[in-house]
Amino acid sequence: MDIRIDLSPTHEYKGIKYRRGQVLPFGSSVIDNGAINFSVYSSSATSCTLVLFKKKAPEPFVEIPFTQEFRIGDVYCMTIFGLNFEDLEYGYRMDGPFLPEQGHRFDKTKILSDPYSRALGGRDSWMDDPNWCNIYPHRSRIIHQDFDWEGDNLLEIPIEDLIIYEAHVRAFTKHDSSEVHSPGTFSALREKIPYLKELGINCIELMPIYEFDEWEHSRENPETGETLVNFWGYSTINFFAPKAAYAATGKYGMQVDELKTLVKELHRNGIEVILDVVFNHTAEGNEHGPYISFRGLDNKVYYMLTPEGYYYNFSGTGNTLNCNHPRVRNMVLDCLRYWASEFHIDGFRFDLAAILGRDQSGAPLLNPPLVESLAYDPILSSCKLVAEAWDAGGLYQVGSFPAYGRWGEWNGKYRDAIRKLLKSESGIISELSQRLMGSPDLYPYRGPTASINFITCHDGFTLMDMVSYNRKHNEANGENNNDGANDNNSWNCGIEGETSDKAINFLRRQQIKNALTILMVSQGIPMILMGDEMGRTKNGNNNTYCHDNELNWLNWKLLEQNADIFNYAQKIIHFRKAHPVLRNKEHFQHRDYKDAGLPDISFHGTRAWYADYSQNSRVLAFMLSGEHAKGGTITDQTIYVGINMYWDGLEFELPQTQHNKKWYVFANTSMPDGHDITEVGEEQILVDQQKIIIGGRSVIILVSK
Amino acid sequence: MALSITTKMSQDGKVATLDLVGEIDSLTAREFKKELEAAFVESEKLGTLKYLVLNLEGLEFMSSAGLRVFIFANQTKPDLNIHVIKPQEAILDALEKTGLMHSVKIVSENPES
Repeated sequence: MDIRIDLSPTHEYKGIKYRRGQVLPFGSSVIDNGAINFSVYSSSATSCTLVLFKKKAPEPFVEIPFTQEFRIGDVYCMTIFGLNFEDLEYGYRMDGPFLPEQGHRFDKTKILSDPYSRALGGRDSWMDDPNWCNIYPHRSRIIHQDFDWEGDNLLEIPIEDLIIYEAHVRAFTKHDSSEVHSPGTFSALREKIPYLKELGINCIELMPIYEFDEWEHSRENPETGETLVNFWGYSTINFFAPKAAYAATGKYGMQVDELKTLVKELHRNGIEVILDVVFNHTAEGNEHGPYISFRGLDNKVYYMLTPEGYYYNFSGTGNTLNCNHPRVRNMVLDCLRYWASEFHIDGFRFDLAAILGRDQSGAPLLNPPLVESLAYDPILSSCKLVAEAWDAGGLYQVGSFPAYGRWGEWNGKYRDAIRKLLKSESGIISELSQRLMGSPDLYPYRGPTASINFITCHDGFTLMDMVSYNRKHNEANGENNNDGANDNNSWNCGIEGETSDKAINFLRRQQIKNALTILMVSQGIPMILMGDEMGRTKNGNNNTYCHDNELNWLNWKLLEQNADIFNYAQKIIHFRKAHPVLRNKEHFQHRDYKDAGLPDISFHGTRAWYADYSQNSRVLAFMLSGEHAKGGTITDQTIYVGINMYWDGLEFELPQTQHNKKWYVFANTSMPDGHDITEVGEEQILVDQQKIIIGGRSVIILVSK
Repeated sequence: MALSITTKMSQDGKVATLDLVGEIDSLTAREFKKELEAAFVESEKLGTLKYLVLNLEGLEFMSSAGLRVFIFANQTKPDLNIHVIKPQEAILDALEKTGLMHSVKIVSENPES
């Protein structure tokens, strides 16, 4: 007999049949016979009511109170029968004390979305004018969780082999020049997979795709009249729901299927997916913010509060998620397990992750339980975990983020050092040597793979702007140019902004190629910002969080206009992929443990074997022994990289090659387009094997064969 | 709006044609799946089913639940050719964006006719 006796209704309320539900899983779930289970918890609520709407209806069609027999511990659970779940929206009313000084802010007049809901309605299409009088603007919905993965699984590319491309779903394809069917969507990104393959990256890191409200803090630009919005999305409404407006099918409620299809297709093409996740705060803001979910469900549990009941603001956005409360910790864990198992997400980058290491009063923890739980979780064991190891409260943990042997970090010190080098600052060469080796000074026990190397990211200048502007130009943000970072370490090459000066434009391109080269020959994991491979500019704005316009949208015509940059980027990426000696998992030992006649790495200057680390030095060269690739397990070509950030050309004495081999030139950034880089395997022999002139502010790569 | 389904089976059991009129949501998708299963059983009595023809000209709405019945058909009979006739624009859009276009072929006429 296969008839279950616990799946038939026992109660009826205003025509709706139901019974006590199942405690787990939390959230809503469809049971085999079409019944729907709801489960939600609150530590301090005195009662809970399930509120049901027909899709997009202004008023609920029924509100069913949870009686005491429907509560187990702090969990309220109920199973409903006979409803079309695709035409349903639900929320909760929680009653309880409103005592802010004790941390409680219950308000039963508010309808709250389910923190575990897998889809949200209300922002189905991007910037569709919402009904501002809606009594329940962000509505929990119920979805199918099944999907035909056709054998797909997480790719598990060794982390040392990753080349990450940081992208924004909407910005990537919204521009007319992208020539896709549904601009700005998951589906459009899928159309662009051939481009990503052509570029050569093998991992895409998506800026927030959890449901957020693009209308949050929307306002008019006083100068242009344009609406400024929450474009980047670093303000989560729900951690389990993909943003419907990023799906062409969001209007049909199929965003989950569309995103899964994208992930499956990226995997088929050898590209991993990392999500940028924002567990440091929510969109509910401070005590003046809206009730969306957490505040009304269990304010004291979900948020870090001062002894007086105000919100700590370590995120700079009004509130701070109480990540190390055991219940919130479990929610974060459930959430990431869900994304890894149901969406096949390969890794996560944690925004302002230092907050994850604060206790409930905000003090930094030596052994933060959430960070540890994520590191040792069995479902997440093959996922990449990457921390943005600082927060807005002044906690800076680059090099000291609790890693448990698993966590990598966005290496902000790499970014700063390479930028200073590129603008020819003095006193940087000693630090440069560390950054090129995967920052062993910061990660002595974790290896180079702990270092996510980047020179640019969504926050700050693009690469083109980094070589075109000395100062930020954020006037379009409507904050009197007060927002955004001031320590950009950028140099405009002589003129601020766009210019027709050929020499300056040539130098800017050369500097971009220098940056790409250094990034691709550094040990650690390189990350490229979307569009840097084609010279994307944001006109000197280093904080474009609020622009749904061409400041953020990638202009694909740049591919033609800056074909030389794209060509260089593509070839230098290919070079990294072709040479395992650039992708070591362990730090160098600075010795010849393979009897190859060379140490695994050696540093040089204008004289071979003598690196100049003095204050005024602006040159450094290094040689990677091919015999020592991947800890000596693979034989590769020996590679010599010469960096001259002095403003004039200098003669570099070359170290001798081994075994009668010769030096061949792979790249020389001081050369004009067409002569600056070649294909792997087509390097030209160097005429003078003893020395080479490296042009001012340029980089060369030689291979020995 | 309800769903009405009319099924025709070719004499040799090679082609099953389902005319779908109305809307497929999470409730009516069960009827669609049942009808499909019945067609599979009937075709086995006559021969080997090669073509499943779904005439969607009269179908005004198909939800995520409906798409899943397509996948069910595809997984149950991996060698089956699924032909879809005249889907309305929103349905075609959903088929494309959710990746199901790989599994079906959009045609203008029933290969049986």
